[in-house]
Amino acid sequence: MQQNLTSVNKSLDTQISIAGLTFKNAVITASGTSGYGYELNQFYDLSQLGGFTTKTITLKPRIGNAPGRIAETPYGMLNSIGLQNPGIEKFLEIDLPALQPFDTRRIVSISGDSAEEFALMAHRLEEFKSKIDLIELNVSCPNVEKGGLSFGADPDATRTVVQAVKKKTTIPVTTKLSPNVTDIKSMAKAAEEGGSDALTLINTLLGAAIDINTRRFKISRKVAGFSGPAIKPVALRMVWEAKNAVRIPIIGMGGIATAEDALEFILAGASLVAVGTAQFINPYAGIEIIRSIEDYMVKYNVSHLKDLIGTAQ
Amino acid sequence: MKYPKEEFSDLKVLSNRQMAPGYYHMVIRSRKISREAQAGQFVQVQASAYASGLIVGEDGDYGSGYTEPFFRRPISIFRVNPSEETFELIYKAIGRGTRFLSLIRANSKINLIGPLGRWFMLSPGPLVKPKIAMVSGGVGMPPLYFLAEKAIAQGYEVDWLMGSATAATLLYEEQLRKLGINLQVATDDGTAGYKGFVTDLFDRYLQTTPAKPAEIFTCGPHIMMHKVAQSARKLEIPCQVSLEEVMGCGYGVCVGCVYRTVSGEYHKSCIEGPCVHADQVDWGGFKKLDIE
Repeated sequence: MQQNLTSVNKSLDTQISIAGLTFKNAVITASGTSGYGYELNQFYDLSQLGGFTTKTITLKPRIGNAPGRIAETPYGMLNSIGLQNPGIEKFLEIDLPALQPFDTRRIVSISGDSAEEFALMAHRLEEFKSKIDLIELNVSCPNVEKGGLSFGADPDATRTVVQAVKKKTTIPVTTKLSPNVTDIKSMAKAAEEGGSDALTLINTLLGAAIDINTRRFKISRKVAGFSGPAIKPVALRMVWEAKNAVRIPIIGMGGIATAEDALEFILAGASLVAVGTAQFINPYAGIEIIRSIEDYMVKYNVSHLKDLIGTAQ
Repeated sequence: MKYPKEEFSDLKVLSNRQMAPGYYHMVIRSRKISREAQAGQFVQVQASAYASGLIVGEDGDYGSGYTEPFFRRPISIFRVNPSEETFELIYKAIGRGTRFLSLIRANSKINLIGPLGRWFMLSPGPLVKPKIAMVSGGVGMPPLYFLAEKAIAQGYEVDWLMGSATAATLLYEEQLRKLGINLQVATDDGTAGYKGFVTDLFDRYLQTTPAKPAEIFTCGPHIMMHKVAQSARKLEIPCQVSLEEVMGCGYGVCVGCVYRTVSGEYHKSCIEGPCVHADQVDWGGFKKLDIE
């Protein structure tokens, strides 16, 4: 049931359709910043969101990294959580059903150590296709310890993972790109070539911080994912670059805290936008962004939100 | 809905006064928090120049989306007054965030969310003369005071050992005694009570007190709480601690504030804590970070 909660004078169409899916509005939550739904639902009805992305699931349960997982930085933070999650089986048993009562698009984020592992997980999720709207491939988590590059820094590896996943599931697939690359356009193209139905970007940058009093790195793994409002200009630029490189729709994120930020990403070419880290300091960020986008549409006489996509000059 | 937005839209600071060097006492109006908070729970407070009203936003300004410093600050609840619909905080204004809190004026707004976290559990004691003991260090006092008020109202006898750097920062000493708490103090510099660590005073207390406490509650630096836990364990007295970890969201989604359990799992300090049984904690698993 779509709720247009602003003006009674005009009817606002905030619906966005991508990859054969309809989202009631352009706002979703980013993976790893909104748990599995029930936490955020304590603050507002999750059904108001266009979509919800789960914390990344792995094949086996992961206990995560040692304490020293987060640190604040100017207008942002570092994180090295270590993909702590209950593993795919527990997720399917407990967390996926818990997400079903909400009228929002359900996006499940998965990560694997190999293309085969990604494919195995996709195959398993296919059995639950009525409960999942979109699969997000986390090929770029900088916290997972792997000798060598993450998939997301290698176009061939990215293409291979997407191909392997697409073979095993009919659920639409989006690939979450890492910004820690020289050329985001070639990564975007590689994912598109592999058959990705959409692109999600950006994941976290890489950063570090040192406590000068203890003379230790603030994060136990030293190098960590960097996110928050400080990264927005980088993310926005990459969304725009990716948009110019591929034909598939873009889901944009990176430092979005307010509707102004979200609209920048839409104008740059994002069909959907995700709020992530901002929710840690403001759990209501998602619904505030939804409301304020509607206010913008009223102010500028925009009847259909999708007409704004990619129109920045 | 546990934390509906309306409940936190217009929280008013009724007073914000310095009570000791670096320590402040704030009274805030919130019907919800005053009625629902349990001893040991905390609130997540926005502590920044913007949140303190030092920078005023304009219409359409996106100031509220940007806080510097970034994270909210978790502050344990000190007292609640349900009939007046107010609650109170005592905080130390020493860090990059908390110093902004000290600048909030009376009659202005504060941006916070709560009550959050797992609270202290008062087990039913023996029917006759149940006794508990508190051990606090520095700004660990407030959540224990909340618990002490409840315990005394339920007929418990409360012994309390309070440690601080110096006499001037022994918080609320008079009021504790007025409440009927059996208070002993320790100061690092000897300007009041026992000269030395409160944990040494605690050990002496455990040896000399004729009636041992049925349970011990402690809050303060981890190194202090660990010692208290060890002493309690020796006498097989159950002990609850209030963990202090760098917090991100404070409500369970970032999974950054974890502590390690004795079974090797990582639990969230904001959900499965901050109040936990001492023997569940793997005390070797902490990392100290500079954030206040």
